[in-house]
Amino acid sequence: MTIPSLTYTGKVQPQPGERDKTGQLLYPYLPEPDLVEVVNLAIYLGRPLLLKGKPGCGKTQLARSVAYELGLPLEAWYIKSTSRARDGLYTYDAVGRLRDAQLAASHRLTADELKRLSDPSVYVRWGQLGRAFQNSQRTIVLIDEIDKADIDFPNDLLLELDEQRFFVEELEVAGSAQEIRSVSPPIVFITSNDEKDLPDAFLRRCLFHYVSFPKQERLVEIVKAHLAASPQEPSLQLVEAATRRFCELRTEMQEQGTIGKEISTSELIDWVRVLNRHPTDEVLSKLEGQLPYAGVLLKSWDDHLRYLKQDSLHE
Amino acid sequence: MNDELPLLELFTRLQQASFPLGIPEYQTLLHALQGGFGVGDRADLARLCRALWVKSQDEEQIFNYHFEQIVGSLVLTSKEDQTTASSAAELPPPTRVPVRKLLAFAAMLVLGVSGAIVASRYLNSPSDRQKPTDIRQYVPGIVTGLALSSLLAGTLWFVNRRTSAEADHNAASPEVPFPALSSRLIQQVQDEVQVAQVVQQITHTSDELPNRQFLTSSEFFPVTRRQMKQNWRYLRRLVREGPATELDIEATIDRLGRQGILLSPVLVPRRSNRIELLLLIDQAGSMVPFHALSSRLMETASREGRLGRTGGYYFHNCPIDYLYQDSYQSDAAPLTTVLAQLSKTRSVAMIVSDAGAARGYFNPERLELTRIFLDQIKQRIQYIVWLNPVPKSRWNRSTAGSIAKLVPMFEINRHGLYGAIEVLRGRYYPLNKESRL
Repeated sequence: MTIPSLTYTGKVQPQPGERDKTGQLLYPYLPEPDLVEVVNLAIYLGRPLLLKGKPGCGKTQLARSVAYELGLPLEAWYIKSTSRARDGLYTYDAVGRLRDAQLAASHRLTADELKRLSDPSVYVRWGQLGRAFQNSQRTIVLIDEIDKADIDFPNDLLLELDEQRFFVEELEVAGSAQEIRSVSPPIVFITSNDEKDLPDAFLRRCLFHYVSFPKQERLVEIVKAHLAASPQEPSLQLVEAATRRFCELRTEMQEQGTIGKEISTSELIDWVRVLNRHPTDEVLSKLEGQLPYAGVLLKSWDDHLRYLKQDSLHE
Repeated sequence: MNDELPLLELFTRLQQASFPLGIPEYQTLLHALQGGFGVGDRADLARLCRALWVKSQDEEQIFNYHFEQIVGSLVLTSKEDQTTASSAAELPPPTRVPVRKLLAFAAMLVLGVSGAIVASRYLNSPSDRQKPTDIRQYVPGIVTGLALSSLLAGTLWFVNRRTSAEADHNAASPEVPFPALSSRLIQQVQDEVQVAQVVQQITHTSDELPNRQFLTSSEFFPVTRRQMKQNWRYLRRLVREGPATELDIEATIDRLGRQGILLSPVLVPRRSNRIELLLLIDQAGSMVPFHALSSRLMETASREGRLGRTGGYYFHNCPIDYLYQDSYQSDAAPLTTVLAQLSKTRSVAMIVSDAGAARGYFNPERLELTRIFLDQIKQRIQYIVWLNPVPKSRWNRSTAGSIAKLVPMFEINRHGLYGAIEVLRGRYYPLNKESRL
């Protein structure tokens, strides 16, 4: 094995306003030291890393951050309820092939096209894992929200993740299905929101890390880092006051039971962005009283009502 | 080699605690250790093991317990580097440290006061520091009670200090809490240290592992969580609904035959499960031991059953007029309203109740009420089953035996759940009326 050793430090951050290849803004990511360690462990052992945690604690962003720092390509596979394990490897466009066969039969294709069509691999579309396996560079694969899929989904991926190979049934090489072996083992991150239990056989092969919600000080850092690129950078005072209020609200909501959605980091960032449109002094005085722009934070009517009720008690 | 032995024992213990671990997982750990991970200090090692072997938050508690027992205390190391410590390792201290401190503080206070009282009682010397001398005059009973309780608190505190001192040599030497006590009291204390140690061991393990009882007993449930989920997935009534996304191969080929050329494939909507489950759960009374089981049924059905809709309601003994939407039976819904919402074609009902089999006697009133309820619900929907957590052998000679003649009744185990779902899917179930003869 001659894989160059890769070490993630979590310290290399994109410049404000830097964009990735698809034109998406890159944001800084501030991981806990634990998380950095477990990422390095996963890279070293070549095992998938399963990340669990409350929504909005930065599970998905981690893969982007690792890819950025190590300069590796990222393949993100967002799981839907209809996703099948094979979709991540490849899909075979059988209907397209049938259509082309029809066109060929009625002589509507040029000679070049006909030549191209004689190769069945034209109809194979590689999925995220399929591409990662064939990439000579080590690739980071993000399997996002694996718990959304069917309960058999993780088990169907066992062979592929374990042995780093799979078969393409539609392509024939010397009488049997073509085998794709990984050139360099991908680094796999899997996130789960815990909506479904994952089977033991799958868990056994993963490393597990629970991403905890950032503490208040870290939240301040995160918000500052995110808004550094905005045209008008918010003052530290404002960020701290808003974060304190946010943390109070969060603990209050947790104490009352989790009926509604828990408020998360992305909502805090939006909130600070909205607050930042006003002068700092005005915002600070607003934060003392009723929750300004409550609609940004409270997404369910129940939460809102409960909040209003509580606020009237305070007065 | 010696270094590997404690970890091997930890591994074996975790495996016995039904962690999903195999030999490759142990090898992975060795591999990681060779790679230079987790060799810094104890907390490092714990983090490494946790990353490799622990797969959920429940398991983390069990892991911490075994790790502390075999390798050594986690709390101390995580306290030292709390700024960089893992979020996971931080979990225990915030709850335990204040309690310990509080206990120590309270013990000091009570000890000081009661020691003084005892001293003043035996030596008959008045002291200016001691406030409660007039209390002693009025209520001597309280004083003796105070002295006794202070003894227990004191010893508990002492044991606490001693164990923490043993584990942490760097810590400041523990203050000796006995200087004010007479030698007679010290003898008593030494006896009680043993008692307190036992008490502490028991309380220690139980508050360390609130889920342990639950986790080990989960093994003995006749149906595991996963089996429940698998069974719910048999409960299907598929209807094509929504956007057309699925390829209809037959129709496509048919169209191809008619048109002579493939213009576009024929798509049909996906089939989705439209079945609506009404889950009625008997709560409280004789059903108390089965609450965990019934809430698990409810949870698996509503969260992962992939059913069209799941409605869960609670009742006590037999539903009369009202059903309750919460397990505490405070949020009532009229029975007629609930029944009116059922769909004749899609709804099925599952009742979870011991039907009187747990207490084991015949209650004609209960039978009659149940019969009325069943008649009511049978007018609305076709498929109803009854799940009984009590073994079938105990149904006879109790109300359950008679109710089982009115409605298909199954024991809650893997087989029973499967049978019940088969009935809900429409399989014929002969109600055993002849057995009365």
